[in-house]
Amino acid sequence: MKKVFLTLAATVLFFSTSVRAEVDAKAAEKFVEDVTHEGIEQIVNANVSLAEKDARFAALFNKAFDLDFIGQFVLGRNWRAATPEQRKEFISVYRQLNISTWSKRFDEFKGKKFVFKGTSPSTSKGQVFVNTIVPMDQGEPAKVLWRVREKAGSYKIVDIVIENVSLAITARNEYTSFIKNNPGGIDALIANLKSKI
Amino acid sequence: MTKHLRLAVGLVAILMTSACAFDGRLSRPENKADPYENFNRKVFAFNESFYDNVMFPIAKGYRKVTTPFVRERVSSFLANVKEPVSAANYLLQLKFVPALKSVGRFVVNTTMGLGGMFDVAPGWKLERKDTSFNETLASWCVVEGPYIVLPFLGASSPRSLTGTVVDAVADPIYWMTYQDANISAKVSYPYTAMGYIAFAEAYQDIYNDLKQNSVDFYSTLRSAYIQKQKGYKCRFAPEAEGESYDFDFDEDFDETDAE
Repeated sequence: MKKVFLTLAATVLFFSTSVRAEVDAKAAEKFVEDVTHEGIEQIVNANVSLAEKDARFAALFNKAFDLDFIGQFVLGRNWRAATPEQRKEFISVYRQLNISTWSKRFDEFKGKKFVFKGTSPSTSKGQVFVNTIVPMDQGEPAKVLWRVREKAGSYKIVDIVIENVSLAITARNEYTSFIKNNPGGIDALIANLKSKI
Repeated sequence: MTKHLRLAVGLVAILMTSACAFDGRLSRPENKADPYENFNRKVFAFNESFYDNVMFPIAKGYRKVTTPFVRERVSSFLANVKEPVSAANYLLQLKFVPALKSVGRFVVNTTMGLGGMFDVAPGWKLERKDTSFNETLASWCVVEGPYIVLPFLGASSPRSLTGTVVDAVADPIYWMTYQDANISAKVSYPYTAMGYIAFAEAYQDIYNDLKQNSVDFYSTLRSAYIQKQKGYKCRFAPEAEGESYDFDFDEDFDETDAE
């Protein structure tokens, strides 16, 4: 009986460690906590000029998000058809647009906070979801999930899921639809995004 | 009440059959979730101009003549009136604890929260969590049907529209005033109007933000709407079925459109 139990325990241990080897969920959660903490303390609540806030936000954004990875995903099937120049330019424009829009949106985060609610697994290799909720002034708290990808021991955010809506999927559908309906294709998309920065 | 019930049941039946029949099987559109895209885009354009020229100016006026404190009292009041609808839907979803919580919230907020103007229930560990008949249908595995954009109301589907109609008929204000046409006109219409205005006031900023940063606003809202609906789980779905937002996100993405 004891032997059976030991084998069982060893099996459980083996599987749990092998799952952990895949991606360290605790470390991923800690990473998102650090990013949001820095964002709120050093940017939203900091008593510095707007220009300084924007600069800090851009630095934090580039450090925390894997924009090359996300940018490639949101172009979908059009990524393969794109020339290296178009790819480079799209990533660059997409990065700038995200920084400028989220910098503004994040500034309205004053007085709010993220409450961490553990992690949940992803079917994609080396990725995990960090679950948070944001208490609102009124009504239900918003559910915000951070999709984190581990690569060579470092972590990057690759998607944010707000109330079940993935920002990566939404952007991908939007851009795919734009390119399909537009004779200018990717170049027209790049020009349109540029005009919004 | 029986008349209402019959109306509701009839509507549900019709819409459910049409949802099944039109579930993308009759046509092979570019986007299989949106077989009526051309028509939907026209309604969408109409809605955009209606929101910009009528709804949002009214919402701005409302914002001008009220303080955040007053608006919070109004929103709390409106939410509290709908609390019994959530409670009934939780019952239909066989979620008994949330149903009881919802009833508890209604009792606490209606009395101690001064007719619902103050949401004091969280002090009793009764946090707000709304549900709808759309979610009830989803929980019983009713398919959503094709994406449709409704005039004035926006993104919807046969299942969602059924939910909206049933929830509206189940609204206490509606059935309390139904018997007397006089009271109905004096209470029901202003109540409904106030609901829309408060909603428009609360969402106009995020709407404008999204619109400004989007290259194809129609697609953005459609995508968000469809993803949100996919989050409502069917109770007979196998456990193994993952979360809808956990799509394949790897170095080499395949050609299929994740949606």
